[in-house]
Amino acid sequence: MSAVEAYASSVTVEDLDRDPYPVYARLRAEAPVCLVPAVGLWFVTRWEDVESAATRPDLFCARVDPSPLERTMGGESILLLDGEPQKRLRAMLDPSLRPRVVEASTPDLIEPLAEELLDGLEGRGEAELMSEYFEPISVLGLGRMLGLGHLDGDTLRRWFHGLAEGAINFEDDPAKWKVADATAAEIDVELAPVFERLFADPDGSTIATMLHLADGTLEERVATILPTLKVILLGGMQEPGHAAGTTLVGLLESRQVGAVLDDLALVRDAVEEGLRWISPIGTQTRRALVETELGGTTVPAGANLGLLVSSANRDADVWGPTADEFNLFRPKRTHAAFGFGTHYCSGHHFSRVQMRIALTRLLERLPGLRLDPDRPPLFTGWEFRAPRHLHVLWDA
Amino acid sequence: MTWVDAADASLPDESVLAFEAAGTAIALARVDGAWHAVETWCTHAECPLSDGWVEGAAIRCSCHGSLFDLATGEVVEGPAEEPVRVFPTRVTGDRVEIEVA
Repeated sequence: MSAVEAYASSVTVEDLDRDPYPVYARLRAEAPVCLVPAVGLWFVTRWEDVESAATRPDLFCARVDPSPLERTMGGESILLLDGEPQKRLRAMLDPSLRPRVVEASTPDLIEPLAEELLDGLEGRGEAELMSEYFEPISVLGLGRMLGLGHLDGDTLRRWFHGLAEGAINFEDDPAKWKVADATAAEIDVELAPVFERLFADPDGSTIATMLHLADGTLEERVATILPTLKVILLGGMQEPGHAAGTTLVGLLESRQVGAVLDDLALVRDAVEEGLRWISPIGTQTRRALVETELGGTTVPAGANLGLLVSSANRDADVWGPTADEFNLFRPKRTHAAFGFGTHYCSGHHFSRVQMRIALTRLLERLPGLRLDPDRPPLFTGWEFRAPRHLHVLWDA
Repeated sequence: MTWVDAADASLPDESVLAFEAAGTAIALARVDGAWHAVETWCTHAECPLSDGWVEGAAIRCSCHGSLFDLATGEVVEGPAEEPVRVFPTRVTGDRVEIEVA
């Protein structure tokens, strides 16, 4: 075993949760395609290899085995399918999420939410923004978009935290399964009457649109869309809030927030840089259908791969020597945070618009916004990386 | 056809702005001192080109990387296959104007 293979074997889930970037940096330099036994995945860490594997479904299929995602969501979701079955699900999901549709509908959903939350914060001078602002906007905004406007933010936040425990449980921890399975069962019970109502009385929401575009009886339609819907409840609920929080940390730590306050149009670039700097979803998983050479390494047939978009987004060959720094003024190019090819995130534009509104309103309404020096932000996670808390102060 | 006031003409090269006129969403961009206006919706997956950036004399879509010639609207690089609509522009005083139907 080479030194770097021994190193990869010594990497623990705890190491990755604390800070995966030093691990990725060493693997990019020495073993860009390398088995990491703690999570049972071959880590693919360079941009070039991530992009090429993500866009070759003939060599690397989306369905991994075993799949913690499949078990958590109770079946095959859009993330695990390729070819015609994936296209069919996308054709149900995409109409309500097309950028042009989103531009017309999303601001009216999100702006009142942001204003209402900020009304509650104004005058306080301090807040923990993940739980008090970014996550509520993220879950309530998507809840309204989906057709779940009647559910409260705490329920929706509990759901995505619960599903997240299972979705990345590559280490097969029984305690995590317990949380995820209970959450999935609760969602099934809660959503049953919602499906009946939206099928009988469609309202243009994402769930109503998907039910309408699926085939068969209501029961068959629900079976078709439910695993994908749970993926959205997890990724869509969790990630825009996380990435908006990350972007704010980047802006405050880099002191580029001043430039953005002078020209709020720069929020757009800040959000893209936040998504690149600490990508909220780190991995796309794939399985090698045949023995394949990737990045100079032979990957055996059946191997499960973690295509690390978070690492590709730090690859100095693409982003230069300052890849690890947040800099909203870096030369523009496409980042990998939403993936590549046919699995490019359906919700990309909805999440972008939501993050831009959340950050713009926050910066407009909380003057002198700064990190609380006594309680610095704490980032954790490798597959889902975000600030666990984000304490700020402002001039109230 | 009418000329519609759109933006400050003194913005630097490679500026990309979003603008709406007569119900049409437009991406406005400056290259070598000249202003170009194209319909914003990328013909591939309808991402707004106003979220993209200038490369040479073309505009790059930020979603899937399609590249459109700003002067003609033609596709320079896919995945898009259809051109985007272009609109005439002119500078009057310190303002850019767009001609829309």
